Amino acid sequence: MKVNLGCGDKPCQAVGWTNVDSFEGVEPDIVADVMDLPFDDGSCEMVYAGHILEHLVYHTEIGARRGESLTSVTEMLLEVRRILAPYGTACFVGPDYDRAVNDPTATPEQLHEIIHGNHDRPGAEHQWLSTATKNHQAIRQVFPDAWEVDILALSEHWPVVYRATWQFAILSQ
Amino acid sequence: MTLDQIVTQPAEGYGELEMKTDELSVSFMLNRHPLLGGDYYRAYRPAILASNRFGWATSVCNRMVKEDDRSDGRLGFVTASEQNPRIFFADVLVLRPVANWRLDYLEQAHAAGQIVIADLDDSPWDHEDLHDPELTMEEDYYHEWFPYVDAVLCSTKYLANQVREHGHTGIVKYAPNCYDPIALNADPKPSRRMGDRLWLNNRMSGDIRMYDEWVYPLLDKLDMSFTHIGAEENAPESERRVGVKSRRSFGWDTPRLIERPSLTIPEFAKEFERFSIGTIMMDPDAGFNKTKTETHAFELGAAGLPLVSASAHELYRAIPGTVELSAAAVEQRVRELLDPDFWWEESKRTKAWARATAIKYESQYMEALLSTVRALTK
Repeated sequence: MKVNLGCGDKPCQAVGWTNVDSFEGVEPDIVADVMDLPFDDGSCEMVYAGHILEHLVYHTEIGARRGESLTSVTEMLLEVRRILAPYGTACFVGPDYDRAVNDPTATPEQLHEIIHGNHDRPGAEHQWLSTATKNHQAIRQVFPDAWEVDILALSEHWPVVYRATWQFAILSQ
Repeated sequence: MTLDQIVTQPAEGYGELEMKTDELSVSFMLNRHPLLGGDYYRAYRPAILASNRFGWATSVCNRMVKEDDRSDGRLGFVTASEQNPRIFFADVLVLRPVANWRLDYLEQAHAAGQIVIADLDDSPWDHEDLHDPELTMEEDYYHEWFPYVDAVLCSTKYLANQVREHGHTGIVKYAPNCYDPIALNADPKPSRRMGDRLWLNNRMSGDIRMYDEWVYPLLDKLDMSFTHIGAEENAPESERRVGVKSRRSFGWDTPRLIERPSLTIPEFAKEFERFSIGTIMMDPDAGFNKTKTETHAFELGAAGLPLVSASAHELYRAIPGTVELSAAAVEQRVRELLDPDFWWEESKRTKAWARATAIKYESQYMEALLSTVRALTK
């Protein structure tokens, strides 16, 4: 099974992909919360999560030292790990502020949206400033061997909506 | 979308698109057929994917234009087409280990502003003719120009470290083989047939001995057959070396051996379906084996063949079906795979491993190629 988490209003049309979103209005194949996915352990060969992590509460070092419970980014990553099959691959894509701010073609409006998200619907706003480094740190807590690739180098098999170069891409197995 | 739509749509739907005039051009020079082995994974596929993903104008070539009366100007690489060859004067030249390329070509390319990247999936320092004084050295000029290329892409981390240790001053990157996660998919069934695809040559004598001593006895003992893809009657005269037995076929005197000729990679899946167990025997003492990639295991595994892999190679430790280096361990694994239920489970597991490996390596290769070219062209 191949799962496209947080598909929004741009579901993957390729054969074999199951589109998942918590917002019923976008008419996904399955309506579900990414913290509680209706899939068996180890049942998914490929899991794609595009532009999700920045919408969740980020794990903080201070919070961890205080012994706070799992933050939602980590919870979500653990849920992805749970459903991922042995030898399965997960792919995380999202905004990289460091790339965007160094891109001379990026407009102030685009940078604003990368920082804040939008307010089209509940949950569409960004919870933290998303960078490749920060995402990589979070993902490696759950997938220690995760590696970053340029978004352009990513396989066509992944349902990336836009190949804009201000995005990071991180793969993990 | 139908073909009619594809053909007619550009006038309507893509009218605003323009031809790029400033796109980077990259030519990959082959050393064999574009659909064989390293040339497929490290030239043909990367050329297609780089064109699609990066927007580069790419080509795979097997000849170079040389003007006798000129020693300046860009080097032109000629596409491998016999019917309709085209010359590319590319910005970036990626050279597989081709023989007879020379230092003065490299100097001319540099003088004309062309970037040269060497692509390496085989150790130039581990060939038998460098280690055995009895053997004739192969004069291919490789060592003359290789140290001066702008960058080197290496198929393994071991090879990349070896290049760095030899003091290469250009960019040296690990770029694993650009495997295809899907194309080799096949539908084999459990049976009493083992097999492998092997292009036998001198440096594999240790491997062949393992096949002779550990695999061959199982044919009668377990009532099995063995398919060898890549057999040739005799090694060509040019490849024979003093003191080394040339061998291009297993030559086992038994009807249980099925020898098939070399095939291109797109033909593998169909042929792999004819047997059920992939065998890999790798001599732990052969220096040449240290530079090997997981290609054998990947190809067989991607087709759904469970493996019996006798190898101490670091990259093979994680491969499903790797066993201890002993005849008993090989026999035990083969016996286990004769149970159809176990075979099905192992087939699925090996295919999943192969796909995951391909997904990972393809992205890593393309990342390495992209970042290298970017670093050299900015």
